Amino acid sequence: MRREQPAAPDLAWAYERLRPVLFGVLRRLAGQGFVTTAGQGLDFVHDFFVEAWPGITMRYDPCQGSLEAYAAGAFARFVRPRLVREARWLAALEPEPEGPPEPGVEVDPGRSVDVARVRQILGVLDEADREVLLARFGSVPISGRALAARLGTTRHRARGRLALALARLSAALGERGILPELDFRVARLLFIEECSVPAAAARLSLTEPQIRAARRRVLAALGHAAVEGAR
Amino acid sequence: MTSNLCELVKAFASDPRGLADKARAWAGEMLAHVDSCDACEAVLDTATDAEAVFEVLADEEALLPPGERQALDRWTAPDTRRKEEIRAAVEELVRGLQPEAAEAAAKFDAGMLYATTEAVSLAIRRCIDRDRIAPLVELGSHGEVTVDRKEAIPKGGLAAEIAVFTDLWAPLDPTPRTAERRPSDDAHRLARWTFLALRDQRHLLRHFRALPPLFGLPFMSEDRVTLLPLRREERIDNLYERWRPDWLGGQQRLYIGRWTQAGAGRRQREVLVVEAAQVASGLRNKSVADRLRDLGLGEDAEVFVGPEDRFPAAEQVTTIESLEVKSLGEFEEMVFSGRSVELRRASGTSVKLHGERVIWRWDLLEL
Repeated sequence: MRREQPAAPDLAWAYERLRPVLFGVLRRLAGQGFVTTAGQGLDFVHDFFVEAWPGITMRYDPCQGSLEAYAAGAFARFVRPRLVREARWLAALEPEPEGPPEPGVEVDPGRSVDVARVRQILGVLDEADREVLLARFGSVPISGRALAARLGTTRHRARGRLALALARLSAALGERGILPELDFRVARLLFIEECSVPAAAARLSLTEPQIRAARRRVLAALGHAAVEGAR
Repeated sequence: MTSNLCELVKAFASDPRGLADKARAWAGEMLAHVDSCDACEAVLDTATDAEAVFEVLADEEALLPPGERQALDRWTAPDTRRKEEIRAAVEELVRGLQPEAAEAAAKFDAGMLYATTEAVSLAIRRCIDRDRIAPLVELGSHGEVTVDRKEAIPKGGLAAEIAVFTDLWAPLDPTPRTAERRPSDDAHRLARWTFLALRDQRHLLRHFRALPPLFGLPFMSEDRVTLLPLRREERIDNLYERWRPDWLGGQQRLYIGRWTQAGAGRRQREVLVVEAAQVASGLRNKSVADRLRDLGLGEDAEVFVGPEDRFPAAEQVTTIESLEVKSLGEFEEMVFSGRSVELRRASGTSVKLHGERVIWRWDLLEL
């Protein structure tokens, strides 16, 4: 039985009508471990309608099946690669609970990173990169949601911009020899190559706590630089 | 009302299944509220049992018939078997390419090559007016596409499409003001590979077939490939079948390699030659099929078609009457490339036959 639907479904109608089906896709993907929180899934439903809906209406052929099934398939293809990418970004960008310091692992950036020079590099970065880095890791760090609101974009895109800005910063720090060799290699793997912590540890023959400590040193150096920059 | 909805969202986020009935009853209001309430959005960020949340909010039974729900299960399931099939088919495809395309492909994962063919095919299909009869679609060597001589995709445009499918973006943009990201060099290399591979495998793309040079017309040249849009019923989803090398026009000889026992557990292939006026139609003739079956061919037999005018080993083979079968001898290896096969003997000598491999598995002939 073919259900009735408008010839050219508008966005508001489609959002109401299709959302329960898209939640079905998210349920399946969450069951496979792709979706980490309900909020993340809802974000992607919004992103789908903002980014992909015009293409859906253009390509959908009613002779081939229902709009609901077509949209569900399109959403699955839309959301899966983004979820995988987000998992990488989250692993690189999100703060993690502070555990007890590993014996012999230095986490204080003051001893290994020249914060004043990091601030100089921040000064020569593109304004958009500087803005996103200082907002996220600055003296008053803001959440990913607030960052997205400030940038006027979705959280997924905000994370992408942050990841890109971190990659550029890491490259600039490495080029000028500001980061110690180890920290730069860790920053390059985590922020540029988007490796996971275990993968970076395996590549560098280090322990995961050592990788996390290096990551914290780089991010903390950014925070220090932001505090000084704000004075 | 708003504070009630905030409380409902909070309770639902912490115990989705326990609040399922209430959440379903208020789903519309609750979701509309979440869209406008930052605090509730943040609360849903803490709902780590996302599967339970979406199980409650999903409502497929009313909107999707069982067949479509099953299809959705298939689309969302990690399909490792399909991935393996694609990988194997791509590896076979690459083995049949000429050296330049094969070397270009060697730098990439099989899944990435497959995704490239899909990205290119879908991108070009989007450029075509579906009501237009026989549009002239041409792919240039730099990844540009023209439809009826008008630019449809500019140089570099296909690389951007490939990057979307394969996530090949350059992470560092030297001119950050101009764009957030751009296709990486690898995406451009894949666009170039597509052009090269199309010259060797005309069925590379799902929605198009590359036209061979015919009657002196330059459908295929060093810098351009002409693509023929396929009707829906002409498309071939089975990659083994789609990427089998094409039938050659005027082919007259059919080579068949079948495994034979060479003693002491070694296997080698006896290569048979069958000559017919038109092998392609001959294979579909029942009496021919029966005679070939009588040869005892198994599923792993290889079939190879060669045109008469490109047959360097002719002097080694006595003229064969129509549909007569003769053995070329036994060979330890059959090494296929784009337009030829090299038969290697255990003694180290070899013979090269020109032509085209037509199927990869005997059973695909469906005789």
